[in-house]
Formats: sequence, structure tokens, C-alpha cells
Amino acid sequence: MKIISFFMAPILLIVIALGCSKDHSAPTFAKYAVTSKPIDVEAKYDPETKSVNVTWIMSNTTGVVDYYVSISDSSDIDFGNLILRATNSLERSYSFNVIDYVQPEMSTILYFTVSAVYKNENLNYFVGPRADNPDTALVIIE
Amino acid sequence: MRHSILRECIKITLLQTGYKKCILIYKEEARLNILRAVVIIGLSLILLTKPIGVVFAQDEEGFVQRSIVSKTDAIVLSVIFPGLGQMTAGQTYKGISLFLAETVSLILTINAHENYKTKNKVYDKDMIEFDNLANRGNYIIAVRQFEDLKDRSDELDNLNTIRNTALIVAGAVYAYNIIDSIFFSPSTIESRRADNSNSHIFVNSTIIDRTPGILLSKSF
Repeated sequence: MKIISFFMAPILLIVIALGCSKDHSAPTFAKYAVTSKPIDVEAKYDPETKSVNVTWIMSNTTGVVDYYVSISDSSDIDFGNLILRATNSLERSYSFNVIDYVQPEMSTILYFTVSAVYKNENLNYFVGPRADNPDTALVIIE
Repeated sequence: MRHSILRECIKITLLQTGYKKCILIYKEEARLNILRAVVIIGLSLILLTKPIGVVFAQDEEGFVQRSIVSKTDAIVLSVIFPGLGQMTAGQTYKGISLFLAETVSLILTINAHENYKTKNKVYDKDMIEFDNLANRGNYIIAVRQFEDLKDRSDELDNLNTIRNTALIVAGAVYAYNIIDSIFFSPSTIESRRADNSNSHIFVNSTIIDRTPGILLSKSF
């Protein structure tokens, strides 16, 4: 009994020490950090065609498959509360009709922002960071 | 036992003592049995927790039960839990201090460990969700989740530190307790001798005028 007690005590301490090892690892953002944001977003309303043409600049297009253009009518512009549309191309401009999103005979300010969509060995259609300064366009449907 | 009591009851009934008395005797017997069982269990527990020899010594106030703990017994008790050996060997304050230190550090360790495990389970689940954002996820959500996970990772780090520190303290107390019980703790007899020497009262056997006697001396 005494011998068992003497031998069991250090074994028990070792078992407890191993049981108390650090089981978690800190999160890493490296996988998502490779993404970059578009800059200089510009939105221009054409009253004749009732469409808005959005353009932007993307310096590094590695891994970019297309872009998301989001349109909002409020401060909630992260994902676009009106529409979030994939361009399905690497073109850095997108044009679309806004007649469905603006009430007739009312002036409406629309916010436009752009994010790149990435696909590589780590990311699968991951929507990257949006442009810092969303551009606005005053849209009046007569 | 019950059969014998029943037989006794029948006898008593036959002797015209009445049924009520029989029931009363039975109840009394049952009560005594319970009392006996409690005393036996209590004594067994005491003997189990104190694997020591029991002797009876006589002093002016009558018979007093006293325990004698050998050094090896004290060490074994200290191995089982810090402070037990010291307490039974007569070093009560040291024993209680070690016992409390070990108990508090173990409670802290267990509490932090349970907290860590629970939070880590949720954290692991959210880490998987965070990794899955790579598949059709969104940068904004990824940033939010990353910040949240970072905070929680720091919290888990703190819990891990508390748990390990408390465990190290518990280990240190345990180690000190073992060293103390092996090298510094006296047996009960030794500590009693020390108590006696501290009180400056000595009781020795002696021969006075060819007659055996007891010499009681006190130093001032």
C-alpha cells in the first residue's frame, strides 16, 4: 500500500499535468489576409438609359474570379440591402438598370460598393473586403 | 436477531406482560441495533482514516484515548493528502495550513480546468466555422469572427495560466508536504516528548530508598 502510494503520487501528478496542457490554438487570419479591396469606386447615373455605371480599380487581381457590386439606400452598405450582384467577369466596370430600385418621381441616393471574389487553393468563392469609400449616385426617375 | 426478539416477545406475552410491552421491547432493541451500527461504522471510518495503533493511557481525569502515529504512517498519510500526516503527528497548525493550501489550489485548478474545457469546446466549434468561411464566406464576417476568436483565445490563455499556476502551487505544496513529512515531521511520540519538554514538566521512573517510584519534576 505504501509503495503503491509513493509510486502513484508522481504518476498522478504527471497525468494531471498532461491533462492540463493547452488544447487551443490562437486563430490566424493569414488565409483571408491575402485578399485586397478595390479602390476608387465611381458610380455615374445616366438619366437617358436609367442605369448606373459603376467602375473601380483593382491593382492585384491574383485569385480574383469576379466581383460583387452591392447597392444600398441606407448606411447598411456591407452587403447591399437592395442588391448584391456578381459581375461574373473580371471586368472592372458594371452597369445596371436602377428603375426597379427607385420609386418614380423621387430623388434617391444610392450607395455603391465593390468587393472582389476569390478562388484559390485556400478560398472558394470568398468575398473579399469591400472598397473603403463607397460612391454615391443621385438617381431621379422622372 | 429478529427471530430471537420475536421469541422473547412471545415468552413475555405468555407471561402476561401484554402485547404493548412486547412491541416496546422490540422497538428498543431495534434502536439499540441502529446505535450499535452507527458506532461500529463511525469507529471503522476513524480506523480507516487513521491506520494507527490505539492505546489507552491513564491520567488524573481518567481514561483518555490516545493515538500513536509512527513516522512511516505519517508519511503515508501525507502522501494520501498533504497535511494529514503532520496533523496526526501533532503538528496541527502546519498540517491545517498544508491541507488548506492544497485544497484551495486544487479547487482553483479544477474550477479553471472545467471552465477551460467548457469554453474550449465552444471555441473549437467556432474555429471550425471560422475556417469554413473560406468556402463562400465573407471578409467582413471573417474579420468579426477573427476578433471575437482572438479575444476568446486570450481568455482561454488566461484560464490555462490560472489552471497551470494553481496546479504548480498544488504540486509544490504536495512536494513540500512530502519533504516535510520525511525530514522534518516527528512521530506522535516525538512530538509529545517535545510538548512535554516545552512544558518543563518531567515524569520519570526512579528508585527512592530501594523502592520504585515516580519522580515528578518541574523546571522554572
